[in-house]
Amino acid sequence: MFTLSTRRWLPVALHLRRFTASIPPSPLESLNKEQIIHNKLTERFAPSQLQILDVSGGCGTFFAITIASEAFKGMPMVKQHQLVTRTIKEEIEEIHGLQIKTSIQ
Amino acid sequence: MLRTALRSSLFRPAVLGANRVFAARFLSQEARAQIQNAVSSSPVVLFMKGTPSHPECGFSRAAIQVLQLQEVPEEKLKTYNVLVDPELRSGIKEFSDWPTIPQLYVNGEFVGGCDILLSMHQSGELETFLENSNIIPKVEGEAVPVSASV
Repeated sequence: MFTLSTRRWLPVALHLRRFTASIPPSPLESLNKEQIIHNKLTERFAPSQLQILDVSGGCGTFFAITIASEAFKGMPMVKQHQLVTRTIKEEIEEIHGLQIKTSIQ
Repeated sequence: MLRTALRSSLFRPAVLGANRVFAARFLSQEARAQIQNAVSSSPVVLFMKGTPSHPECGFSRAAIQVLQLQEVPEEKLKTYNVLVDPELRSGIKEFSDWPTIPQLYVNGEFVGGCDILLSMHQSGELETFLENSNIIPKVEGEAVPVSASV
């Protein structure tokens, strides 16, 4: 029982710690948001590079997303951004704002 | 003007059936037509927070500064302050399929938001684009990227 629950929660806990390091007074909610965005983008684009930075300066709801994926190949930048924002549409509605940088490599 | 028109049309209850697609898109055809008028009301249209002389957001400030650096003539530029018009603020996001402000339209076509505008400006692409769109006069010679290492 104990082993099972540790195995289940340890990866999550490690993730939380990694995110906590960059955001001092981190509300749990924003951590989740960051992670949800991370998961959704990973699933959708299989990115070769993905960085989600909290650049809100405190409120925890402004993200700078840098993403590189083969999925953007041959697309104008507007389309690339729209693919990203459509994927995280629900999350965007709850945050203050975001910056996006897309690339192929 | 736009505000009133949008208010009356945006929040109409959705009609099921033939109109379901539009209902799901939230923006009614009437509101869409109003925004369509706005985006083509001038060769260059910027939806921003605040006004060119008093931008109320760093990203809108950056966008208007880039347009000024490119010497987009005032008579070809029209800006809409979304902060005084909540319906336009949400409507334009839906219309452009773009979740953030500022948003730039040139000759009725969506160009992008602040990130795209800045990166086009830095690469020199924006100057070429504005020239080809007959917004600014063509300068002889190749476009020179704005950013340079020191």
